[in-house]
Amino acid sequence: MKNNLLGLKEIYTFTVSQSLKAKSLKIVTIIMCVLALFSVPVVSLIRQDDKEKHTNIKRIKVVDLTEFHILENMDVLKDENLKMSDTDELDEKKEKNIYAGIIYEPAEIDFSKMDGNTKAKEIYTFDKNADYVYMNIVYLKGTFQTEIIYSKETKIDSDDVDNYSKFFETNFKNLIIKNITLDKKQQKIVDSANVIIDQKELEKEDHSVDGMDKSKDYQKGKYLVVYILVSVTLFMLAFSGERVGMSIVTEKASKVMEYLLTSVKPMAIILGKVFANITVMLIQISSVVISFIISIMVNSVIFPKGDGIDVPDFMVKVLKASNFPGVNFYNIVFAIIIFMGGFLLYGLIAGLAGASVSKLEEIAEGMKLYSLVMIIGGYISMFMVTSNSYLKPSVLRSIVVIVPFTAIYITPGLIITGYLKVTESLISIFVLCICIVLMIKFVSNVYESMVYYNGTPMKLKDIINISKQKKAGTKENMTEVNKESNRDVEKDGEEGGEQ
Amino acid sequence: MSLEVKNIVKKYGEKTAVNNISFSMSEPGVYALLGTNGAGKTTTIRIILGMLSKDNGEVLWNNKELNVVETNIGYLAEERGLYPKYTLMDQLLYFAKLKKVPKEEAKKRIKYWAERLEVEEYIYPKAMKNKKVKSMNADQLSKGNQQKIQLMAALISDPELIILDEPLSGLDPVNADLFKLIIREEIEKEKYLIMSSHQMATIEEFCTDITILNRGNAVLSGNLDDIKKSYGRVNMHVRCEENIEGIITKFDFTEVNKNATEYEIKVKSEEQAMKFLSEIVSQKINIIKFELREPSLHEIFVEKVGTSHEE
Repeated sequence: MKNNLLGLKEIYTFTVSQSLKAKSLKIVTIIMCVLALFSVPVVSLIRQDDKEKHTNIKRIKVVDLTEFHILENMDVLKDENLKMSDTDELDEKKEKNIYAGIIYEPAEIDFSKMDGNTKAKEIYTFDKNADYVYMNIVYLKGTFQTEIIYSKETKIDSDDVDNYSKFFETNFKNLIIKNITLDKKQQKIVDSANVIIDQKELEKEDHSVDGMDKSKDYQKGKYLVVYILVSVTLFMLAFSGERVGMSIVTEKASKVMEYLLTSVKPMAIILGKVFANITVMLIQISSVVISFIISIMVNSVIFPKGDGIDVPDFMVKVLKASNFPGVNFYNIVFAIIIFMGGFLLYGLIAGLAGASVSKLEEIAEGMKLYSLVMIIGGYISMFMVTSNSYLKPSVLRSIVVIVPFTAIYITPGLIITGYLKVTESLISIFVLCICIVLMIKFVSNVYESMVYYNGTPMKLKDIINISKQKKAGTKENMTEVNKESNRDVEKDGEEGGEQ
Repeated sequence: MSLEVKNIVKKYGEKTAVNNISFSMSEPGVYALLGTNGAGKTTTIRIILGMLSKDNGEVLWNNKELNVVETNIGYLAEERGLYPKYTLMDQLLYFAKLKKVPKEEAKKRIKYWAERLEVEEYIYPKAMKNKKVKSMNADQLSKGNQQKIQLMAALISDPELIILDEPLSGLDPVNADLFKLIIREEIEKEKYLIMSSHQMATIEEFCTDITILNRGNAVLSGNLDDIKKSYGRVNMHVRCEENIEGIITKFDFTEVNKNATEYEIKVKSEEQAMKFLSEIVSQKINIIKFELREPSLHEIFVEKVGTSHEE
């Protein structure tokens, strides 16, 4: 095995350095970075006229299930000098507290009459002209968990609720220390007073409400995290797969492969190229992310709201800590293993796809299988996300989370958002490792024959045939495919001409 | 050091591409693999290099199975290959790195070979108006110059075993002589070379031992001088002032050909040739040329593979 991997480092470094020198990559990356760089300021510029904040929330019906008498102290939020968000400052530029006029009143909900079959709309009632939302507050496991329930049939929209949530979060500490004489324990609670705010849009369909069980809530932030990861992974797989395939077929078409094989084994070539192209892709993505961060910083300077960095609202939604309850050292490691392992697996398939053709112009034909697997995996994962099937454990979810071709898309997202148990993550990693080992064995079996292949693009059954023959050692019974694949070996002798 | 190729067999389905080929090199020198197109030369070379799996046999280097990754081998493939869009310097440094040549040493060797092969202007283009100029890309070079770069890649690691597959094909006479000079130098450095070529003159110039392949089989193998001696001096070239056709008809020669000025006669033995010469002399015919020599490699090659190849 060690012998098979000799030269991998050299292949890797050369492929990375040459890829980074390529004009096409530089141009594409620069365009992407420029777009990312201008994105936030341009959006801010467009939305500048619409910046004057206002609210349609006139009343908030509060269900206070804490022992901190929060409802009684809501007057704190009526101070006109309160910050509207963390980025606001108490200076001339500061926005006026538009929520100062909100009336806070107890919600008249009788929880004793509720059971598992109680519908949400039976509890939270709204008429068309409703100017209120409901707010449930509980204190669980050292965290204040707040849920704001609104109806899209009223004039209060999600942006309005978003802005209020931000305001509430910013001023929450003031609220709970009001009129409280703090003992040591309470001081500790206040110091660590983080509030998690979830918004729940009451739809026409019935929602079953199981008391305040938040695990059944539709969590928009987490949804966005998982959705974005699936989309970005799909993009990255498409990008890296094509690069690996192109890289292999370029070496075949230019006949450099033959020279390389006098120094390294085919396995080192394919793995070196897979790792190199993953690296190039990560460098490219990182450049775009860095540009985006710079864009946010530039935006904060051009359109200042305070002295800090103004993170766009949609990013706040995605990046807020409450979306990542699963983040801990082990889960991050698990997520990275599944992500990188998945790329390795897909990369090996892309390498085979590249080796199955002989000419650059045939690469699209050769990559069909790769694209098919990638798109099917991506679409299944996307379906899981958009249909919210990832929220509850089910057979389908288990399959999608474990099968490596779909796991790369969805499993890392589910791990960090806390939807997946450790055992499920470990099973996913275990299956992935087995698949990688099997794929490496398969690739090492067929790759040698394929790198010399010179003819029409090979089909999957042809590749499997080669593997079977190699495995069985039935060299006398080589199929037509193998004859074809080796025809160029004979051809080279024929091409030399006597001078 | 020694190279031993023992009974290697390669089959593609029912077709045997290489059938039981064996040869060995116990001393430095050049071993030639000859054969018509598709005879199995390149397949044999690829099997030696471990690029193709063999169905039987073994390839031993210093009495151990040849390990391409661990042995310093220089290979000039028949199908030349360079990255078209990468600079020559980058490629050569990369190839050197794969052969474990330290970067600084590789740079020195590239400089040396660039001078020897007269390709400095492509690898070290002159700076224009103090602007740094990069080494050229491979696709900016002619085919012949690309071949020189390939030879540099093959020799950059100062290999102990050099395999040259049709090294002179596609070269103009000047560059062919340059390549021959370098090959000669490598022989003088006591390297082990395996060469495949269609150019019999080149083979005769360099090679001590040969194997002639025909349809995957070795039809002739051994030391070139011994092979020639075994044929004996049976090729007679005669040119006289008068017509000697009458004398020729008296002898039962194997083959008689007449070109514009002289007869090319294949005699059965040296004695027969001497009798023929005596007859001419006795008839006081003026002889312009009389040559009795061993068959050339070309003739041996044609004799061994010509007939079966035509079938």
